[in-house]
Amino acid sequence: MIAFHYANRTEPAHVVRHSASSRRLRLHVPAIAGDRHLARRFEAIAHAWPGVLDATANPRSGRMLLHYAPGAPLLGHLREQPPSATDRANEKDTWHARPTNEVFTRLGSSPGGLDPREATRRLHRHGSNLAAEEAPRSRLALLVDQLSNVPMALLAGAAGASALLGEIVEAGAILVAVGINAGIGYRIEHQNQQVLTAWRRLEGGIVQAIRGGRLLSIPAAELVPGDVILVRAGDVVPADARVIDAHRLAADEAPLTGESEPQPRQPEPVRADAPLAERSSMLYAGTAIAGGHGRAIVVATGGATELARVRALVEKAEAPPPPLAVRMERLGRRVAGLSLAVAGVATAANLLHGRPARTLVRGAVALGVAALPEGLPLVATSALVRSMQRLHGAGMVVRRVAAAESLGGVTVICADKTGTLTRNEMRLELLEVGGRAFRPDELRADRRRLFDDPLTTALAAALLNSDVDVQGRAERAGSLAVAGSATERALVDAAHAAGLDGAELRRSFPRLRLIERTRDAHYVVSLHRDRRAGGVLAFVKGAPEQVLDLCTPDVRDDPALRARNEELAAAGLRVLALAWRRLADPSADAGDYRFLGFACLRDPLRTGAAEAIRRASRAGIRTLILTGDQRRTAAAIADQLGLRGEVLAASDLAQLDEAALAERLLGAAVLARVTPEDKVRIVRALRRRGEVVAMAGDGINDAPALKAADVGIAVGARASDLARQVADVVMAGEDLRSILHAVGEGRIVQDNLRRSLRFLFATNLSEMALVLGAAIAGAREPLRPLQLLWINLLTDTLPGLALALEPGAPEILDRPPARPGADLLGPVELRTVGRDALFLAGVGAAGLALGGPSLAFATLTAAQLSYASVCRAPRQLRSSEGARADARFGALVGSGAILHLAALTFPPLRRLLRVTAPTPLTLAGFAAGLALPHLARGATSTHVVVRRGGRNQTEDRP
Amino acid sequence: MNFHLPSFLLGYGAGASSVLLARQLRPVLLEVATFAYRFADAIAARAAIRQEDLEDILAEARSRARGARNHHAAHGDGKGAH
Repeated sequence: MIAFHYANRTEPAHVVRHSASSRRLRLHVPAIAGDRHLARRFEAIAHAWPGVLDATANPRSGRMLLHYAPGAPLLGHLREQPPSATDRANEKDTWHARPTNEVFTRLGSSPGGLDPREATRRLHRHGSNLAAEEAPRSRLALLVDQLSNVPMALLAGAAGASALLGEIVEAGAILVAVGINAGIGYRIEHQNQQVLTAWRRLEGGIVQAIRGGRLLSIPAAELVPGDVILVRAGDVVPADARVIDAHRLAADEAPLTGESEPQPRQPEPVRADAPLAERSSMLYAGTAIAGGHGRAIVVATGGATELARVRALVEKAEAPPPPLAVRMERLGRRVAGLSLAVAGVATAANLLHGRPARTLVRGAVALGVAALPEGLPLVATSALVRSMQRLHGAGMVVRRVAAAESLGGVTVICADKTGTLTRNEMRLELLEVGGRAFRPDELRADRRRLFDDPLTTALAAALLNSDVDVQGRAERAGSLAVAGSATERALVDAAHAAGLDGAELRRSFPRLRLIERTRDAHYVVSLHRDRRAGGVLAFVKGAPEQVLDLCTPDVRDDPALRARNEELAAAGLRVLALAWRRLADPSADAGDYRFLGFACLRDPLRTGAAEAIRRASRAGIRTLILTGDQRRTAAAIADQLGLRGEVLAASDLAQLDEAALAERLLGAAVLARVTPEDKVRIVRALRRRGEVVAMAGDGINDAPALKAADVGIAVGARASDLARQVADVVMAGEDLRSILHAVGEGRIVQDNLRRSLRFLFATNLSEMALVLGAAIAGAREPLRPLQLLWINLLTDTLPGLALALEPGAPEILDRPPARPGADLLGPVELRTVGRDALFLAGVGAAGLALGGPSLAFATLTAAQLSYASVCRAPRQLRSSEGARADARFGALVGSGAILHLAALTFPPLRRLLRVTAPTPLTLAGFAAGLALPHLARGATSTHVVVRRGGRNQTEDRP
Repeated sequence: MNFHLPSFLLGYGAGASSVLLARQLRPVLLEVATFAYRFADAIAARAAIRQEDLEDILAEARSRARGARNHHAAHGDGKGAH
């Protein structure tokens, strides 16, 4: 590799082309692109290289040409390299499988760390130890998104046609309508983006590193491969590192692998093909040290870490377009197609009647404006925004507006187990002593009978045997912060809560020795001097099968105890046996321990997890648990949650293609030992089957699947930054019932959108029918484009908005979701829309016949305003919020009526809209228009009670 | 001059909108300009790269042709340039 060193910086270059025959070397130097001064400087540097005859840098292309003399040292040996060639220290390597001395050699380091100057050079070469974050969408991209759809394009075309005809006011009015719609959508998306940017925490921090044989505190961003770092309980691992020294070192890898228990770390190499969760000789960036302390050598930083690999997977996983966007796009294309077809027919009809070209173009523009529901973006956005506001009130931030509707169509919820369904906090669930099981709230220690009361002895044993760090909390006087492994933290917390004073016990029984767990001995023995009674106390805590073997013969040979252990383990509990004895001195042979009891721990379920799954099932939504845990643990959790279905491991699915995987998942309830890549595959396979998938997770390992799902939900305040960045919905709280609440809100949005669409399309079709009918009949133009725009803006916004903000039915979650991919308006709804459109067009035609275009304008608009109440949900389906909704509806539709009356009577508006002065006939037509739809509804619609899924449901049928 | 209400309202609305929207529009216009410059730079870079590629091809062809001629002349195999 070639590099240019200048002013304490190093800029890389690589060979694009090397022609040995002409002695020309073409280098790509990214740093000089667009920088003339740096290009000149690099030319001067290159001229100073031995053998270089000429150097020319081109800042436009970012390349440099070198001519070199025959026999120039080194230059003649350079080979062409692809731009993606990476440095040796960053290449994927099996560090976990190499002995530590080999790791030091390959990284050019030593136990005393790197030389500081070498560290600086490596920092320039490798760059900072910072992972690139997903850049927020630019404002331009947000704005372009709002405008890049077929209806907007058609409106823009209509505006252009109006402008060509000289109708500047009309063209301007159409463009204003387009601008308002785009502006509303842009503002909402932009605000949302800002809310979530503010949540992002800063990465980095300070680490203890050894350089030049000295212990230094350096920023995590300055770590380089080869640095030796010190880690201890509570630290977040700053970079991928190979363990070189470990004292009870354990890492919590849940964010990366989903493994819920802290994993012990040790310096011995593991097999090269070991999966990530089993590389006990490694520490990975983004994970946390759960216990002990140790030293490690950094092997990968920044973009080369496993964390960055998961982030890259997130970026590669394309977020699917929201279902609402897909259906609206489809609907928009169909409407545009219909509009063009009708415009064609109208133009042909006008031609047959010998109308001039100006009239033909104006007719086409009128149809374009009539066909498109200009208020639809406002209505859809309002429905979504209202849903978002209600969800925000329930502690959920909707990051992508369309997700508020997508939630309503969810058919499968994929939930990560650790941290999503469970709290990721070990808790003592039971302490079995003397054959009796004590719950945590029943634990009471008797300090005066420390070794006479078995319960107190068990608690003291658990406390003294645990290797934790207990500190007083500065921010809360009297409370303690316990650092250490989750299991031992839980035991110590329980002992404190039962009334034992850990500090006092440690003073009375200072530890002499700790015999740690080994590969064969899955228990820990601690020896303590008894300052009160003299002698030595030995406590043992660990795997029940082995601890029972260390106890007195009556316990060793008791089958009931071992059976009880099996029972507890089968219930999904983590079981530890406790025992103790007195020794004459620390070196005495230990055995014949006195058995105390079983400490049973569990990672508890989050609030509402089981109920959320039950409600999901009632709502027709399947739940699938994805976890990095082992099969048995995963199965126990599924039992607790009441999930019925197969428990599969990722290895069972590895060889299946997407279609076969989708079939295999049909009967599954739990998938164990899944990696981030597996989660993405599973989500894609489900989507391929046509399911609408919601993925709920909180860790880094969930992020790619969150992005690939239809709705990604980041759960809890402790969700990783990456999960929150890519999720569509971020839950601040931890109650999973909120997810079902969000699904209910989504279904309300869908129902309201359907009603709004029925209204919008019926009214727009009525205008099209009127214009087309007039063209075919050879009658004069019934409505001008500006009048049609006025009608659309008035009726699409105010009544359309009222329909979009209706409250939902209380039993919204008692029915299954709508069929995925179903059209927003099905065949039945389309027939209703057609019938209603003809009725409204008839009202307009009657006005045209009786009083000309002005009366048509008056009656059609009034009829459309009144038609909105026909589209409301029947009274029986409305919730208790009905009174407020009725008032809001009346206010909005009433405002529309008042504005239209103003258009008929207020002279400046009348002149703008080219409406004649009102007559009694005009006002009578206006009143008739308001009344007729109600009369028609009474004659045609019925309320039908339908038995569905074992319960009666009321539907309004046209 | 007669007072024309619609014209007055249109003008007032345009003025008020531009003031209110200026803060929102400035970043968008900045991004549009940035995008335009980047696009222009990318086009210029592509053109420069293509030109350099052509130069390299011609230089290599020249050196092969003249290098071959000189080699033949030096070894006197009767195939040198005429």
